Amino acid sequence: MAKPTPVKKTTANRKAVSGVTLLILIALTVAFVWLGMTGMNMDGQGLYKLLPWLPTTGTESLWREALVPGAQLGETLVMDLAPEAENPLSEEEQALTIQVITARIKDMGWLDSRVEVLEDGTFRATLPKAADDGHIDHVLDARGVFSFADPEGNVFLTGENIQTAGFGMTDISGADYSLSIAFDEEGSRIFGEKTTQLVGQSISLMLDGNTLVSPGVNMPLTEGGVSIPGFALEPAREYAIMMRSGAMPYALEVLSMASGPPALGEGAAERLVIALYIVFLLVALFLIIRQRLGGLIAAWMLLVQLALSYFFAALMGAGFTLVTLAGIWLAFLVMVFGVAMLFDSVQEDVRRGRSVRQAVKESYSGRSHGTIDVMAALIALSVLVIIVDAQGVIGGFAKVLGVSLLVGLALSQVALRLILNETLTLFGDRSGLYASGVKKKEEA
Amino acid sequence: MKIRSSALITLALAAVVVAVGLVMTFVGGGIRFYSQSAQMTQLDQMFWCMLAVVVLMFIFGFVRYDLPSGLALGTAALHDQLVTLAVTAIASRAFAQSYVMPALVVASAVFTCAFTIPVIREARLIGRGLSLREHTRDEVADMAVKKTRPVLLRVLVAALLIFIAFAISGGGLMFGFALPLLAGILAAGLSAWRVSPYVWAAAASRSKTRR
Repeated sequence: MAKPTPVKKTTANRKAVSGVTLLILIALTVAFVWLGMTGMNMDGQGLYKLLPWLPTTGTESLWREALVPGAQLGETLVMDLAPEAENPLSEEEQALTIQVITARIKDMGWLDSRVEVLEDGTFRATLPKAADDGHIDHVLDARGVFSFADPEGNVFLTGENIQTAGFGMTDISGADYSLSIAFDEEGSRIFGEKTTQLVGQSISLMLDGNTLVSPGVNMPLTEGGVSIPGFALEPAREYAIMMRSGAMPYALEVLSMASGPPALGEGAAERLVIALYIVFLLVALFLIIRQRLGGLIAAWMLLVQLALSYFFAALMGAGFTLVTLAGIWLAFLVMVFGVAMLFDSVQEDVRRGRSVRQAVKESYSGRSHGTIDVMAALIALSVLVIIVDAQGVIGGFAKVLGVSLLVGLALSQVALRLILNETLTLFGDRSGLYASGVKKKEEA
Repeated sequence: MKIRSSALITLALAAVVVAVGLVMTFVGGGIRFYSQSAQMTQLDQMFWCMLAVVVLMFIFGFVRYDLPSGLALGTAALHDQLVTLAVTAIASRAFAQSYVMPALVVASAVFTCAFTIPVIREARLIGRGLSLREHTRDEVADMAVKKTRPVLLRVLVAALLIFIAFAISGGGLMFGFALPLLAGILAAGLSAWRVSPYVWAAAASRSKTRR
């Protein structure tokens, strides 16, 4: 005769531990979400302040400083620029000008900008408002013809032979920056020959005919590159950007710089924030109706995932852009998938007569591996895409998606499981609490 | 390797859409962008990322499960990426695209993973538990599709809600920007239910026959 299965009685002590655990987790969640919405002044801790990072519709919130809106969703900077040419530009010259302006803007990280030719032949650049840092006009209006000249002023090399350029600190003081320039094959040969001839003298780096610096030549530079010190941070950055973008056919004159509406229209960001929160509410409502207490816990985890995803996006400086939102909300979708898989499996097992605790355990050791597979595949994919396109828009999307998926993986596999077990201890193993319309065989 | 005719028809239709879309991308006016600067968007990088998605999905399926699963996941990824790009290119005639387009085309991999991996996993589980004398692999694939449909429908609805949230927030312009998301959702749903399970079935039958 089979022995009766010993029934584990939950002691009052264990219930109290579960209750306290749940209360602490709820308090932490409320505090985190509250901080996300309001931020905190941290003068007392010797810090400046913690900015809010959760998007809201109010104008008084500072979340836009943490998640800086791009040109499509936030206020824009509209710059009108006219070519300094006597005759109207040809189509090729216009196209080249747009190409160079766009390359410079992209290089500065303002990917969602817009550059167009107006009917009168002037150019209009629409950038995020945050691009107005006091230097943007210097980068966009300069023609960008770089050249190297000997002490007599004879140009021996032009920017066309520059392959790439960068900048960095010359010393730890942070006051002096160097421009690093790499030449193509022809440029390397010419530069090597010239610096061999000019040892002990100086060469001049010129921009649009004006001398920027005239460093001395101590030795022949035949390695195909040069590092020129003597710049402040902003000029070094601007010159590197201009060297990488190439030159425009003509210099431009800034006609006006004004604030403009978001590319997607006034109020688009607010409408999007509301619409996405409505999506969250609908999903949460569906889960609660279908899975009751289980659904409430799942909705809780989804909320935490969103709050953490926005937090990490703000930390990464991802900005409030369509790319960031797509990354966060697609990771949210994967989490919804994980939750749906888990509860579908739990419901099936409970119907077969298992207790909810057993069903949760079984689900985590069986079907829930599907969720891990999906998340692991997507995290691996994010890493690969970041390697392929580290600086671009696809890489930016992959970074936000990857981090949000890691958060989702931890929440779905650890936090959700822990909280489900604690609620089972606290409220008992009643199937009715975790699935609507489902009863165990014995209960039926 | 004999793939079920309905899957082949779906693949053939997808191939037509992809051909039209790719011709429009490379030969015609190209993908129409909302601004000239967006033409500078990283199409080269997008193609590399699309290739990376297909290769990684195949390797993931092969290493995590087996060769038939790798083939099924690779096919699904290729189908979803190309159909998403093609539909986006065609629809861009009516709805201009933004700089986000390359990221959203590659993002269809999220739907591929969320829709196809559960079906393939389920098919393998069902296949292990059934006698293959009584059931063909295609029947096993049918059962897997049927079993995972409720969960995937819920995810599909959530995905559509996210798309609608984007689409209604910024008028026609935003609808165009979010269009690759919709194309990705539909392409992945189609491949998960009509293509990849039957590719898996055909590949699994072949590997079984060889053994």
